Amino acid sequence: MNLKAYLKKTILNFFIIITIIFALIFILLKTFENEFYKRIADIEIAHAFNLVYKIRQIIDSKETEKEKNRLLNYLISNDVKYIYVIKKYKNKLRYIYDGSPLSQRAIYFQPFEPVNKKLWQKLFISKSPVFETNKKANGIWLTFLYPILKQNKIDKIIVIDISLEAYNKFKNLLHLFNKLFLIISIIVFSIIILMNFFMFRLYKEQFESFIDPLTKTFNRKILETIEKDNLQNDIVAIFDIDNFKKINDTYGHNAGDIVLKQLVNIIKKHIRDYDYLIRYGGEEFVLLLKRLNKKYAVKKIEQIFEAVRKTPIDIGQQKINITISGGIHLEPYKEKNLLEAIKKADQELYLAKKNGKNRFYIYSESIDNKIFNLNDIIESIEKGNVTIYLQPILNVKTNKIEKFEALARIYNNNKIYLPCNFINEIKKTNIYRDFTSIILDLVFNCITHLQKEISINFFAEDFNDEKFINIIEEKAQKYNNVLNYLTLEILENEKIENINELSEHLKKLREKKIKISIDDFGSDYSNLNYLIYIKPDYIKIDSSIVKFVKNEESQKIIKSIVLLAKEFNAKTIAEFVEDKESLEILKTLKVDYIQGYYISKPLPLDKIKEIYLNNSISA
Amino acid sequence: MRVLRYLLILIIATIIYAGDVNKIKAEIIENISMLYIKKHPIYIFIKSNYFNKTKKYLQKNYYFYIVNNCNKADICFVDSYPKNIKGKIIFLTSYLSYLKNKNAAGAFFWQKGRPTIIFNKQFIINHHIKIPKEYEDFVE
Repeated sequence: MNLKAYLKKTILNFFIIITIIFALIFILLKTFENEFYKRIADIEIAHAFNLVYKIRQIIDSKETEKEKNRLLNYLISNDVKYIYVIKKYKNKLRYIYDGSPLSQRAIYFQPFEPVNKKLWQKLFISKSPVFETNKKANGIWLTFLYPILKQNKIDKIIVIDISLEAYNKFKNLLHLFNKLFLIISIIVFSIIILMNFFMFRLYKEQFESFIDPLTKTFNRKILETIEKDNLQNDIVAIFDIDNFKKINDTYGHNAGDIVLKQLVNIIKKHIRDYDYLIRYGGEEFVLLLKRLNKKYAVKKIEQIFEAVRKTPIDIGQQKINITISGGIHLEPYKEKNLLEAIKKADQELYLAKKNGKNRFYIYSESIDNKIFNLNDIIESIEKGNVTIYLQPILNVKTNKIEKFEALARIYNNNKIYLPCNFINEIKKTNIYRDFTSIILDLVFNCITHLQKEISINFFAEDFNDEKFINIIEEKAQKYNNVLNYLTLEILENEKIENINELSEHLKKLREKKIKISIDDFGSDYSNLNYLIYIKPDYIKIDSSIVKFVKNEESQKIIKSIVLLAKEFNAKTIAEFVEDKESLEILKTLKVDYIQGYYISKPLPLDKIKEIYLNNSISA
Repeated sequence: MRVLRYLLILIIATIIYAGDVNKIKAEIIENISMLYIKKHPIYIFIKSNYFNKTKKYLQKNYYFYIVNNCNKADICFVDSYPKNIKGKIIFLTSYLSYLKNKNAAGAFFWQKGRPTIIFNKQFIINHHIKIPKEYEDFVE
C-alpha cells in the first residue's frame, strides 16, 4: 500500500472511530439525561404527594377561603411554583383555592383553561394522580394533578406546579456532568489524533526507507514485507532497460538518471496505486501486479512495452527512444517466496536479452526441469559459502609451478557443488553476477597471497554482458596492482555471438594488463578465426585431445596447435595430464605448460601455500 | 462535536423559548381579533403588561395594525376598561376587571403560565358574533 492509500485509510479509520466514539457519548449522555430527569421527576412527585397530604388538611379545614389560600401560600417554595385547587362545575373547570401570591392569585370560581387537555382527560378517566413534565411551559416544569374523590367521583383536583427552577437546579448539575464528559471526550479525541499522527509518522518513516531516492519507486527492501500468502492472483514481472550502459556512456549518467525516471513515469501510467513498482537493481525493475487476471496482466505488460517503445525520452540535448526486456511469472504464489518467483522471471529476462532484447518471455513451470536444488545454490552464494580450489600449472621448461587455475566450489549442508552442477542454471539469473564478484575477490585474494598467475574461466558470452564487464572493471580498480597476475579464460562451449563487441571488451581488459586465455581449444565451438579477435596470451588445449596424446593423431593436432599458438605469440597449456608418459610426450611436442592430476589435483589455498610456497613452487 | 452541537441546540432552544410565549400570545390575539372583526386590516390597541411584547409579532402580520389609541382601534386588549369609549370591542387582560365590566367583549389573560380566554356570552348575542364550535368552551 502506498503512502497516499495509507493516509486515506488512516483518515477514514480515524473518522469512523471518532464518529463511533461521539455517537456512543451522545447516546450515553442522552440515556443518562433521560434517566436523570426521570429520577428527579420521581423525587419531585414524591415531594408533591407529601404536599397533597398537607393541602388536603388545609382545604378540609373549617377556615375561610381567604385563610385557606394564605395557608396554601405557605407551601409555595422555590421548587413549588403554584398550588391551587380546581373544581369541575357544569363541565367547566374553575379555581376554588389558590395558594399563589396575591398578584397572581386567581379569583374564586375563575375559569381555568388546562393547557394539556389530554392530561386532564387522563385524570378524569383514571381518577388517579397524573403528572406531566413540560420544559416549554412558562416557568413550569412539572404539573401534578391529584383528584379528590367523593362517592367515586372527582370532586376537586389539587394542582401542584413544580417550577422550572427546580428543574434547572438539577439541569445545572447535569451540565456539570456533561462538561466533564466533554472534557474527557476532548482528551480521548486528542489522544486518538496524537496516536494517529505518530502512527502516520512511523509509517511514513518506514515507508520512506522502502523508497528509491532517484526514481521514487520502491527499493528491493520492500520485497521482504510482501508475504507469499498474499501473492494469490498476483503477477510478477522483471524489466531491464536495453543497452542502458551505452546510454550512460554516450550521454552521461545524468541522462541515465532521466531515462530511469521517465521509464518509471511511463510504467506508472499503466499500473494502479496498489501495484508495486520496485527498482530491483541499477536499471532493473520488478513489477508486482496485484489481483489481476493473467490474460489482462500480459496485455497490461504488452501495453507498457509498447508505451516505452513509442515514448521518446527527453534527456536534455535530444530525445531518445529506449526499449526494455522482461520476464514474467504468472503464478508467483506457487514459488517458495516472492524472491524465488522473481528469480524465475529473471531467467526469462535473461533469455529475452539473449534472444535480441526488446521483448518479454513468460515463465512456464513445465520447462523448469532442474536436476538439483537451485535454491540451495542461490542461498549458498547469498551467504558467501563459496570457495576456490587452485590447480597448479607446470612450466615445462623451468619445471616449476608458475601458474594456477582457480576452480569454484559451493558448499551447502555438507555438500560441495562443482560449477558444472549449477553454472548453467545460475548464469540466467542475477545471482550469477554476485557469484562472479565473489569469485573474483577470492581469486585476487589468492593472487595477493601467492603473487603468481591465476586463471579463472568465464563464458564467452559473459564478455558481452555489460554488467559482467562492470564487475571486472570494478575489481580492476580495486586490485589494480596485481592485475598482471590475472588470466581470464574464455570457455568455448558455445558459439560466440557479437565477436566484434567481445574483441573490444578484451582489448580494454588487456590494456589493464589482464591476460586472456582460450579454454578447451580444439573442440566444440572452437573457431580458428577467434584467434584474430581474442588475441589470446594462452591457448589451453582441450582435454579430449590431450587424453589421447599417446595416439599419433592427437600428437599431430597438439603439434599443430603449438605451432599455431607460436604464430599468434600465445603459450600453450595441456590439461588433463594424468601420467608421466603423457607429460614426456607433451614435453617433446613443446607444449609450454602442463596441468592435470599428474602434477596436482585442485587444492585449497592453505594447502597450496603449504606445499608450493615452502618448496619454491617447483614440481 | 456532536455534544457541542447538542449543547448549542439546548442554548438556542432556551433563547427561542423566551420569545415563544409572546408569539403564542400574539397568535391568540390574532385569532380572537379575527373572530370579532370581519375586515382587514384590523386595527389593534394593546395596553397590558402581559401583552406588550406581542406587538412585534402582530406588526409582522400585514393583516393587523397596532395603533396607540383605543379610539382608532377595532379591538382593544387592555388591563382595565377604558373610560369614554363606546362601541369598541374591549378584551380585558385581568379576570377581576372583566368581572367588573360586563360591557367587555371578553377576557384574555395569562396566569400561572397558562392562557385563559373568556368570551362574554351577552356581548356575542348582542353583536351577533358567530363563535366556532371549538371555542364554545370559552363562552360564559
